[in-house]
Amino acid sequence: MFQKTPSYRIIRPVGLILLLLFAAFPVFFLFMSAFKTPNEIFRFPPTFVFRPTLENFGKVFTDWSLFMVGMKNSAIIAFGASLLTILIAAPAGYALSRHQNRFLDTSAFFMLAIRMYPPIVVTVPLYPVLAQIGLMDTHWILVLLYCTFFVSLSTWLMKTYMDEVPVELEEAASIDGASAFQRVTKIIIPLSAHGLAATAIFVTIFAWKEYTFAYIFTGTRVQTTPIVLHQMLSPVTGVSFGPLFAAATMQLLPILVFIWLVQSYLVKGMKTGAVKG
Amino acid sequence: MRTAQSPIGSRHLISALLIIPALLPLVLFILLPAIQSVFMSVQTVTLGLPSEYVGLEHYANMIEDDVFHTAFWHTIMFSFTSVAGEVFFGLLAAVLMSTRFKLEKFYISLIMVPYAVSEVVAIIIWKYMLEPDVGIINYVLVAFMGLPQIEWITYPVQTWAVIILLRVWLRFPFAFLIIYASMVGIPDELYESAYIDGANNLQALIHVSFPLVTPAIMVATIFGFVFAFRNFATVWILTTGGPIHRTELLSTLLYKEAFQVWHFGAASAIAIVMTALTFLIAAYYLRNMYRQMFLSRA
Repeated sequence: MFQKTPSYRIIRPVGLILLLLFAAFPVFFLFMSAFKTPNEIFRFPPTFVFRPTLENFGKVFTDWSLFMVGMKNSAIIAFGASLLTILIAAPAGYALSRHQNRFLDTSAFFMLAIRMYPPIVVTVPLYPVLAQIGLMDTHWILVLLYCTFFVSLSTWLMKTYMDEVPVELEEAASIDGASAFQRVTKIIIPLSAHGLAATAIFVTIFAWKEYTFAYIFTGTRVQTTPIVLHQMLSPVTGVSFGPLFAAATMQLLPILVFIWLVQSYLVKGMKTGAVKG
Repeated sequence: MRTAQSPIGSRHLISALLIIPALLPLVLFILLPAIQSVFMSVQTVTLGLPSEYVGLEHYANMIEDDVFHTAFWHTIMFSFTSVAGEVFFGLLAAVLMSTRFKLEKFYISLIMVPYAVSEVVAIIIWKYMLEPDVGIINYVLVAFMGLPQIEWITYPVQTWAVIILLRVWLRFPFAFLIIYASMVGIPDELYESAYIDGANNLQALIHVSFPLVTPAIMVATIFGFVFAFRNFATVWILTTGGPIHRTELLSTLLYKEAFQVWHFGAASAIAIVMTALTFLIAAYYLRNMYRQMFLSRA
């Protein structure tokens, strides 16, 4: 695209290295610091060569059992929200892809518009209602809310993926005597599996890092990891940075690996999501 | 679930049955609460007590309240600067990455790193790196560049700089992906013909790339604003809006009104302002989508 002039040959690699440092170095530095002793953490100037220790991780297990409970809660909620979102967004995406009428068009536009609504704004009217029906401080409330805020994007994603499955395939199956159920299980689901995966990925990433809803709608019973990490960051007794870094590493590393594994879905999904939904 | 041969009526019914489960949570958890918050904003609502109609009193109080003004302008200032930063870095990254090369995917995966990070982890990392005495950033600033160290907890301008830096870091990968996708879609022929006409790289960038990625930049900007207006976690975890409201946003003020002093009515008035700001920005995008969906078919 650009001509490889001498200045281009200098500017581009230098720019890229600075950019990658900005993006990834802070996380690398966190992971590294998690393996340092407290003395090493506060050594100035910061060191890059040191004897790594697992002491901080041990302390998280012994002193912050809350954190491990948080990991479990986050996993349950991420899984539940992904599953629920897939279950309701896949049929909706199918309807938008295969049918066309006024109600569907209006619904599709409604989905686009309503997703702009700021989440913190709905917390105020929801709070008294949720308190009354006993949904506060449960896994369910976060599953429902995370699903709600991703159902629009997911439906549009599913529609886009299902648009790529030719209608002729379904018609041919229908002529061969396949039932509606068989057409769904044998054709639609296998061929739009990438869409299902992309949906699950978006919901999981969001659920794993979400703070506001978790902070407002959960108390002591169902805490997710961002909430526990916040507590570890601001205890009255002063922060112990070693365990904090270790816990942050345990929270971030799995989702980071996950993102790398599923990068291509994510890139495609974001393009679809932002441009179309 | 039938295809072409089914009668129209049953097709409509089936499609409605398929989409209604997806609409249900949106109506229950967003639309109805949104309507409810309009009613709450003209009432005095306290948990456990019957609510009382007060007209526009909450709005009148809000407009006279200095803290609201501060929070409002902070929200505007914060959104403009952080969105400008996000889009700038996203665009810069997209330009640098636009020529295809071997390690492309690996580079993208590194640029995507902040996308996985939650606000609280971002704050843990950057607080440590920006620590005035032992932080690595001050080490680099002071030792290598001879600059004064950042005392960001003491000075409000520096606190804002840290908040915006965090925000830009967390959000620029999103802007990057949107703009990058559009950038790599530009056909090579357009560049080649520009070079034949004697353009250099910078001219090609300005006259070929920029006009063609403008729609993507618009989308990144609009979504940037929509997400900046709603931001709560970054500021709440870092400063809780303090000290003395110096980093207050509409979102943190809303939280305090609602969940610290339990003034649901006053909080709802702030909620309406936040919603209005959001839809003011989103209107442009929604109008385009509306045209695409309803008018292009005619």
